[in-house]
Amino acid sequence: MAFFEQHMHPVPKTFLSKYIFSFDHKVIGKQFLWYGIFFLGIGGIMALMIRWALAFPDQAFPIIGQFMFPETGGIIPPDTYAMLFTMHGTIMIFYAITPILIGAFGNFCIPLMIGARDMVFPLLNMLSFWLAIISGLLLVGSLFTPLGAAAGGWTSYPTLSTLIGSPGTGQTLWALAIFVLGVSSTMGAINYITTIIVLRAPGMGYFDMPLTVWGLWLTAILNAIFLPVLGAGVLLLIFDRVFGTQFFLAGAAATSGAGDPVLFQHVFWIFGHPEVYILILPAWGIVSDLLSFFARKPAFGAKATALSMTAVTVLSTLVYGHHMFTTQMSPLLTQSFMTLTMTISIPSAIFFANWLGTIWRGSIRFDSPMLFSLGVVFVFGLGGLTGLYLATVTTDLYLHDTYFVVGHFHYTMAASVLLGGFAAIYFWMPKMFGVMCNETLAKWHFWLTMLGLNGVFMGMMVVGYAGMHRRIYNPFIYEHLQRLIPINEFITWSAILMGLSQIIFVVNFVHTVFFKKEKATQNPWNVGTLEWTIPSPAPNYNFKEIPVVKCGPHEFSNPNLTTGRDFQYQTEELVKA
Amino acid sequence: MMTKTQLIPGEIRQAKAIGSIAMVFVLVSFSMLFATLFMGYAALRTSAPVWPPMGMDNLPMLYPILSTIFIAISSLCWNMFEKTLKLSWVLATLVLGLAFTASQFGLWSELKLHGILAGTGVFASVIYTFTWIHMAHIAVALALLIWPIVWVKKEQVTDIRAVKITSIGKFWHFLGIIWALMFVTLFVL
Repeated sequence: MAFFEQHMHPVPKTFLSKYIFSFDHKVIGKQFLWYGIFFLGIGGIMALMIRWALAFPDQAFPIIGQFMFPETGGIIPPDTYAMLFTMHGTIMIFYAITPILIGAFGNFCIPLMIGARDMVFPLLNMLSFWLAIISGLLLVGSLFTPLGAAAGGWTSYPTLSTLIGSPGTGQTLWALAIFVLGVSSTMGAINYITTIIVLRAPGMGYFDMPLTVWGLWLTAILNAIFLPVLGAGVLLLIFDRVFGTQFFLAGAAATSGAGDPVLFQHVFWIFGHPEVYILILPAWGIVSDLLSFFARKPAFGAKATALSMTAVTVLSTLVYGHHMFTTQMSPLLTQSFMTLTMTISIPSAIFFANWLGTIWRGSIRFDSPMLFSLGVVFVFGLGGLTGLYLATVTTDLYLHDTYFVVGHFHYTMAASVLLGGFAAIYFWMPKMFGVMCNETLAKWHFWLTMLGLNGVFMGMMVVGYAGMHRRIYNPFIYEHLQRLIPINEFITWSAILMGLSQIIFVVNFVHTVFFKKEKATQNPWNVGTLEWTIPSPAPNYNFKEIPVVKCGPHEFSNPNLTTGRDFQYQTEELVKA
Repeated sequence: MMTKTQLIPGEIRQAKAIGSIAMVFVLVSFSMLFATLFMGYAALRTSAPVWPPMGMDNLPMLYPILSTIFIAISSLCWNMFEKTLKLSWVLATLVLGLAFTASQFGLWSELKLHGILAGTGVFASVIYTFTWIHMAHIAVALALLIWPIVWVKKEQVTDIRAVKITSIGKFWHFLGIIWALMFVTLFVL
């Protein structure tokens, strides 16, 4: 329930106050969207370079290889390879997914969907974006340091990340960039949480919020609690590197009273496991909503979906040890972590069944947002199931650090989140920019992405199960991996297909945003949530009058409806027989 | 955002509620930062065969005790300030905060005299890192104190600013509590 009614923003007059230093949550959301798409491109090119090195280790990387690695004639050198997989992971997780799903759609959707005029702290919101810019500059800057960027993996375990493993400033800048980004995300998270608590429109209880808002809210809570843990971890890492403290040094490297390299792994994963849910929860929320919107049915068990997402959020804080089964943890602990991890599959199965229940016997409209949402259901199902093998200690000891892990986490947090993000972009495009994307191109984009994506990540699981380790340069010098060359080439061609199909998206997106003349209608998808009660694109004050909410977000195909529509706006009283 | 300076009673209650909801999450975030440090410290200390490690002097206690006294009294002064909104109390808080800062610098130079530098082993690392990070937060809090001083001086303490003063106060007390925990676990035990 709204604690107070916000005043309308004055219309910004200058270019700077309108597009650069804007307090408007919608503009900040768009800024985060461009930021995320930019880094998605960089991270994607890095992924293609990694894949090229794994399939054709002795051939020059096409087109840009000659310019980037002139000393090797265009072949990716081993040390660069380590930097590539490190920066690919870091960029995709912290600079692409986080800004797009949380930064862009968190900012854009939360106030619109709960019927508010803006976030509760607009200044904090703007600062959060500009801190993210500073962090991005630090990270990009680290690529140009003398010894190159960070190369210790995105997890940056000591001793790979201490001065012994990486003496260059690249790793220090990496840690600094992550720290600044953590501050930025925590500020955003505090803003989101408070906004959702205090600014919901009159009449909107927690279970009247769209599930998108639920997902973003739970994400924000996890962010506020666990990003500081990573902050402390990288701060200690920076101190180790810059001031010579010895938290993560052991043995001969430490002078007296040894630190502990494994301590960093604990700190990292206490943050790191909630982080994977931080990334996926917004996508879950968006998909839960879109499946109902496009199946023209109320979301099956919406309350149970919200509650089971909450249960996953709580459980996600208790399972981090499953990342560390091979660190000589006590068997008592590994067993407990295994059991707790397995428990997560119960709430996950509940909302997954709810998704299927939602589309069951619905009159499904296969518009592009729905295609992407169904894609999420498919890839998340696959990714979730393969997680069980990694949660089990016995199988994990074999699969640990193989490409099976890489395939698994790409299915869950890369593929699902990517498809969820695209679904959100196509769905909210009319409300964000006032224009609709080209539907044919969007469908081509979906099918080619889906084909490429499954080729890549399914292939990764296969080679991982066959024993190929992650993070090794040119695995084919090992005899037992030489038979995997053809399947690795297949993965790489799939990756190239997936990469090229993103060009369709970029063309479609840029053309729609800048050149399309035909305006979208107020409610092109016939959906009843609050953002569709206002014109497209959303005016700068969002709601002229703060709406009063009278029913839930998923009221579709009610047989008692007499309005000629098959849906109800949330501002309408629920029609009863 | 609220731009009106004086609010009706119902709105004051709401502004206070929003302030406290936001501050709860702000303080949870900061607590997690320090909790992680304490967890790391506990792990290092319990796994060490002796603590402090061999060859280390016992720590000088004068400056930590002084720091504790300063920050404790400053919290009390702040409490009086919130009740009375008098300039003298907030200035007292500021002065005691600066005294705390000075005693921290004293602690660092004393440690240096004993030959304990950040690089002389994990024991010294822990002491320095905790005090550095805590001191960085104190510096931020001291900077935040400037606003209440200006508001009180100009006699422009509006309702919304009173809510902000409460939030700054919560942060200040929080740093006091963290120091107390540090004092007990790092220096006394």
